[in-house]
Amino acid sequence: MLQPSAKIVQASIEDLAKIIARARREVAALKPDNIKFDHIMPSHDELDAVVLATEEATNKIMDECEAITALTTSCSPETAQALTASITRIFEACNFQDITGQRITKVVNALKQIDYKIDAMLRALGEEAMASSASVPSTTSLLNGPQLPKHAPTQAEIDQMFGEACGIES
Amino acid sequence: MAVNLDMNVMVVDDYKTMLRIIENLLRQLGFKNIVQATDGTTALQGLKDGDFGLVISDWNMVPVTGLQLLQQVRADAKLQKLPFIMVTAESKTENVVAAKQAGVNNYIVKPFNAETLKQKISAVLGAF
Repeated sequence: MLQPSAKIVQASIEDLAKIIARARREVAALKPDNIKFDHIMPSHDELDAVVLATEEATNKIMDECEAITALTTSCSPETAQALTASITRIFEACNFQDITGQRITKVVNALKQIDYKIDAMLRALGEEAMASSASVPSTTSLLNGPQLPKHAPTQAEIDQMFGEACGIES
Repeated sequence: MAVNLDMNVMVVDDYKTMLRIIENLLRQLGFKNIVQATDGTTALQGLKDGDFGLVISDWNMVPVTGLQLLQQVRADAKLQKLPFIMVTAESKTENVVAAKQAGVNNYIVKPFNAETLKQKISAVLGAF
């Protein structure tokens, strides 16, 4: 016959088992596999397409800029100078493609982390009930990618940091 | 001393679009001999084999990052004094400090313009 304290432990375990079973049903009702296959995986493709499209567009813009640059030799010096200045500004503006690509890569990595967590959750809740102890793959510590504009330092601030770094012993 | 615009300049970036942008901006600034590399390993071999006066490199590349390329350049007896400018979207203090400690000559944060590129090259090589 069970001791009173053992009965309390047994009741607690039964309660815990019920809570876990309910949690499993609730999570299963959320259909996490749908999130993975219907949303996350297609999002990867969509974002890849955005990068590809902006890259193609940027290359076409630069093709035309190079064609215009070649034509400046047949213009007057003043016109050639004005065209060159405009073309330079277009090339500068094309920086957006690289920055956009890096930002999208960050989003894709975030989606991969979510994907990974969902996989782990599915495994944990599945029949095999595997405990997921694997750690999330980390990226190289200093590869943070572009910062959001509200957090990004200006070139002047970078120059200041750079100047201050000169005093650091290497 | 005037900057030799005929010097070989190595531009390293795994984004081909970015390579093209930097090359065009360098040409607008008067540089004539620009060599592109899409990864650090190719760049390092090119630097060892050639005669370069300046390296402009991205940071965020695989498998060799721009920082690792810089460290390898500084570790090479022939290349250790080669002017090296990092052009990158990595703009956290620790990035700038790490690059400086590795021996970078200047640091440009993306997005940048031709004027900034010229200023930083001038700061490293002299006015032109």
